[in-house]
Amino acid sequence: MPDTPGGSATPEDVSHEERTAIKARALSRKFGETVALRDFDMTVVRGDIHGFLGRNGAGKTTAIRILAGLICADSGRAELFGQSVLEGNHRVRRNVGFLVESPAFFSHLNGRDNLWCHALLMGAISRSQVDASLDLFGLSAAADRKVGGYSLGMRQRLGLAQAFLGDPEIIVLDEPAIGLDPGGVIAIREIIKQYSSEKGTTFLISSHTLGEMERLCSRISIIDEGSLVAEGSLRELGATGRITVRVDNSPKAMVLIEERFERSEPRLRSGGRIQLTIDEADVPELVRGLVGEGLDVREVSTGPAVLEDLFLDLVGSGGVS
Amino acid sequence: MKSRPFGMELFKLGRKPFALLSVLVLLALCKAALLAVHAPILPDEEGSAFAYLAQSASMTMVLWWFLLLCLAAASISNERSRGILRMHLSRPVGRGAFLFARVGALLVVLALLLAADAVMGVLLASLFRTFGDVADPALQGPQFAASSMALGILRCYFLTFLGLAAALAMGVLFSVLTANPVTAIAWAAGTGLVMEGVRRIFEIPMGAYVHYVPTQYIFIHFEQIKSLSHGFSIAVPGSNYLLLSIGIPTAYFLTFILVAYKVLQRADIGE
Repeated sequence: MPDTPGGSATPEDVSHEERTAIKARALSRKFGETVALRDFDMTVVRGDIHGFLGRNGAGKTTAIRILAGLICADSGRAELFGQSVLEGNHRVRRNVGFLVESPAFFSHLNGRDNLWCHALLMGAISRSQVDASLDLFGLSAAADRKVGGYSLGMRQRLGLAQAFLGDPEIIVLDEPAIGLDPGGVIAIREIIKQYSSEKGTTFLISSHTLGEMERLCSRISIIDEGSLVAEGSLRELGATGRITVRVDNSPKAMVLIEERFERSEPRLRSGGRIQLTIDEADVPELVRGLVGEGLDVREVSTGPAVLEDLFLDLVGSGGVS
Repeated sequence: MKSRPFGMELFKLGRKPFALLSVLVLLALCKAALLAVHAPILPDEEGSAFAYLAQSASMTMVLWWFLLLCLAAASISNERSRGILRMHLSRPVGRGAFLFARVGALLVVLALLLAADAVMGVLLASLFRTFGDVADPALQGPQFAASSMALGILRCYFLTFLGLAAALAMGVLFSVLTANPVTAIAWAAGTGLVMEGVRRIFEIPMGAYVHYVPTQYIFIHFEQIKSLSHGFSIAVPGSNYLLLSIGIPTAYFLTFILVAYKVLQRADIGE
């Protein structure tokens, strides 16, 4: 099922195709009566660290499982490096590392042997590359211990080590920070940044840790009820350049801001915070205006929680207040 | 840059020395116990060890088919339920290659098991009976015919291998049908028992014609194998018993594996 009509491609199209690492077009998948994906689209550009967000059950893992060749889509097309993954074309995953859901290993084998099993399945991976991958995630000391004795965090790190094994061009990580301590989360973030900048590795990362995603990702896709609801850079999505203001009388401040900063799109957030989009140069005028109206300005910030707010705007809290 | 799923299977097998050793110890105990009950009533004279060995060989199917069926039934479903299959199949390995590698590994285990069984049989026969001097003219006569007995025993092991391979293939089929290893084992064991039950039920009214019931070439064809191992065949009107004994288990094996392949190709992994 081609996703473009026939005819010769323009140089721009070719360039775009070359820059695309992962592409999903009109992917649909049902499990019984439950619709997991409905005409889902996504484009991940080569070299990007691409965040993949959505509520529980939104369809993130289903989309990743289709990319990994673990399940088939009912319709639509998914591509890695321009090659379809839907027709049992397992060779397309040669340069792709996956960590799909929680990692699982042979508990009677040690960490090194488990990675060697993956190396054999990948082909052309040496013992030294296995050791390098273990070392990268701080597992060298535990490499000869049976995985059955690993903690949750160590299993997660081993899962990450197998995804990074052989330095693939694309790495797809589903909730990579689960079970990791804060130090581990920071270390993983640095490794991902390093791989992206030094090796040009493309990352697709699904996570619920929005603050972490905001620090890490250059582009974001947000999925809800199986469909894409937003995709783009944080700036394109309006998740940056926002100012958060906290005052003693939020409703009055909202009216004032809507009058004086027409295009600022103010939104009332939890805790009486107001979030708006204005240039930083306009912030003093905003504060003067609020104070001039007798409002008590308690906080003005470009807070880190803007992605969280954007996420809640787009998909809501899923019934959790 | 070729994926090596069979290499991985052999690597895994090599990492289970204690499990293999335990199986061999279990084999020795079971074999000794079975032979103690079913020892051939033969005078302990020169060459009687061949008959003892033939008896041992013909018991191999009885001893192992159920265990191997269950082992095969758990082989893929267990990894699937634990998420290991999901991890492995997200690698650049085809599902067909993965399945054939697993079946290949199970056949290696089966071959090792039968080799160990044969060694065990020889040891037990040496302990309790006498092989004698095979060059002795007495052992070349129609009474014992050492060379003919040895050939019969080899043929018995070959047929046992085919029958057990068919049982393994059936276990593998159930293993890909479900992600629950307990369910897979229950289905496989239940089906195996039903097949054997059908054979036994048909045996009474059908008499010699029971040989036309295909399942009787797969599971516990104890008497038939024993007969073959002794160098004579059961007459089946208009058919070649040996050919059937080779052809039917092979057909079962190929059919089970082909269906398992088709099922695995369509299966959702990681649900």
